[in-house]
Amino acid sequence: MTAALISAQHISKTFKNDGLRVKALREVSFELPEGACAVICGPSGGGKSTLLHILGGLDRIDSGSLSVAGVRLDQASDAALNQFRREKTAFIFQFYNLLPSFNALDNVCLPLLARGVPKKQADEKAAEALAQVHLGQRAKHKPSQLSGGEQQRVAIARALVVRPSLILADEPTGDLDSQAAQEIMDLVVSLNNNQGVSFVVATHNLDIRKIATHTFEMRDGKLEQA
Amino acid sequence: MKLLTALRYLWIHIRNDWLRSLLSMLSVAALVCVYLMSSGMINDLQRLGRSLLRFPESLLLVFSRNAVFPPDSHVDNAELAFYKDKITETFGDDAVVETLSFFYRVVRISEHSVITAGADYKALDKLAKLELIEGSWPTDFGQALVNQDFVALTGIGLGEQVRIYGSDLVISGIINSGLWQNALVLLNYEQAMHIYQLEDDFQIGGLMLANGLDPTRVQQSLQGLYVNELCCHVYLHDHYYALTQNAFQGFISVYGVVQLIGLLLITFGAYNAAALALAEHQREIIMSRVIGFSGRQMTWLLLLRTYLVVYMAFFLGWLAAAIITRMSFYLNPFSMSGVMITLTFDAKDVLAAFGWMNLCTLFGVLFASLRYDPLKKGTQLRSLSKGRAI
Repeated sequence: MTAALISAQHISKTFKNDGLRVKALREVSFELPEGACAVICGPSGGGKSTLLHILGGLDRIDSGSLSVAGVRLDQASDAALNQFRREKTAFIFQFYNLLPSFNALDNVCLPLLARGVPKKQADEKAAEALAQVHLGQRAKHKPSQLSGGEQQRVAIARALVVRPSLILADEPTGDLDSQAAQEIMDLVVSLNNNQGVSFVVATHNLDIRKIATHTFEMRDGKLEQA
Repeated sequence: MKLLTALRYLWIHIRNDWLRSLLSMLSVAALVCVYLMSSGMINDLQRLGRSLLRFPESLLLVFSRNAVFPPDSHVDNAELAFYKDKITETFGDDAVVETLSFFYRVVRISEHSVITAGADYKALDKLAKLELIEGSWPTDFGQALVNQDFVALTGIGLGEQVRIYGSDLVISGIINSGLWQNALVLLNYEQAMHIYQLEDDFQIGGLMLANGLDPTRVQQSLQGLYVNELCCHVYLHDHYYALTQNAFQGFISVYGVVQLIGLLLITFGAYNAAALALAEHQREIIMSRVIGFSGRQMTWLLLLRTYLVVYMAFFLGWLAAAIITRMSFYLNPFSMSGVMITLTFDAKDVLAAFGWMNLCTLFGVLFASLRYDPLKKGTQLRSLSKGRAI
């Protein structure tokens, strides 16, 4: 039996938005095994991004219990959360969020440098990761010199380079044309199938359901298996 | 992350964001420049107060009771002789080895204020060695000596003419003396009396005491004298410095305030450089935290980036101050009471500004970072999921 990568029990999260209290997550419970490719669909404002931030250790829950890759995030200190973010997870965003000053290679290097990997070694690993996403020839290009699809592939390389247990993708195809979106989906499938990388993908794009091992629907802070 | 790697990344970041970085840099550089130039002004004023004349310790000075600057004083030989007699009565006939009548005026020559002094060359040479660097000693009333500062300030050199109080004098020699730190035309005493059409009227009397005689004791022995018809007092050489320094203290205080404002502004400049980097790169900072940089690493990187910016700003400000002061002196040499106002700041001023800036940068970055932790601000974090990267 495959071990649970994520185990969430009755997790809730409320935050203030312009003075209003918004219940972003309401008693969410689910489990995912290692190697899963989970897709969370649902309308905007339903709580998908908040759930991803919480799974990635960027935000904390108000109540419930949450374990990701063997780490109890509801009990972790700030330092432990920081270590968790470094070692266990990586993010991909709709708008890529590459650092505009640096070229693709430097962008992919950064997570390794944050982990204290020497620059030369980091360069080699980053070049490998870029080759994996078929961008070896574009390593010296800045984000502004790359297309949307290419930028997203750089973002995927940046996520892959630290070999995380889990990649959290927030609308990874939301800003791409259909061809570029298909390339990204193919890449996710390939990484999931061939390298065993687990994914949790939040999206509006119903086509992505095709690649999912687990599908969820998120609406008004509630998560249901589809 | 190793220091060199971090510096490489930060340099790329600063270069890529050159306009904002340049604006931060220029604002700090301007403040450093203001600080250094006001420090230079204070140095000049201190020099002005300290070094109008540099008398030896064994010389007692006689000048008007209420005079602040030497040109305001009036002494005659009868008063000088009175004090000499009083000293010899108490301390013996050989107590005073030399008396000096010292004529003193501030005049304008070629748009510069310089000192015209008149004294007996031989007596003056005993007080402060007069060294003839170039040319020859004057042989008649139509010749005069000048010092190197005079040549540097006015550009008038050996063999050229200067007009003083309607008399044209040819410069026969250039001298060097520890007595003056200002631009000087040196006349013989009789020559000065002749040119200014005066008789027995000078500004400072000097009583050179014999070796081994304590000037303080002699001066104190004269304190008890109260002679109504005498308008002068006898002072120790350092009383004179204190008086002239007091006269410039007001100016020094004003420039001290300017200097202090410069330092305070450097404080804000350093803080602003840090705060601006934080404010303008929020999204990049959040993203850096997301990809694994810790809060401490981000603070260290911010500190390093701010130091890079303020160090470049400091050297830019320093360079600008050095160029402005040199150029302004070269294009428009300016003097007060014969002292060249060069706005020259020294290593002490540069080190003070540098040390203060380092301290302000450190505290500025720490303070700005404490007030800002992107991962504790949900709305900023959520912004990663909205909108394009800047």
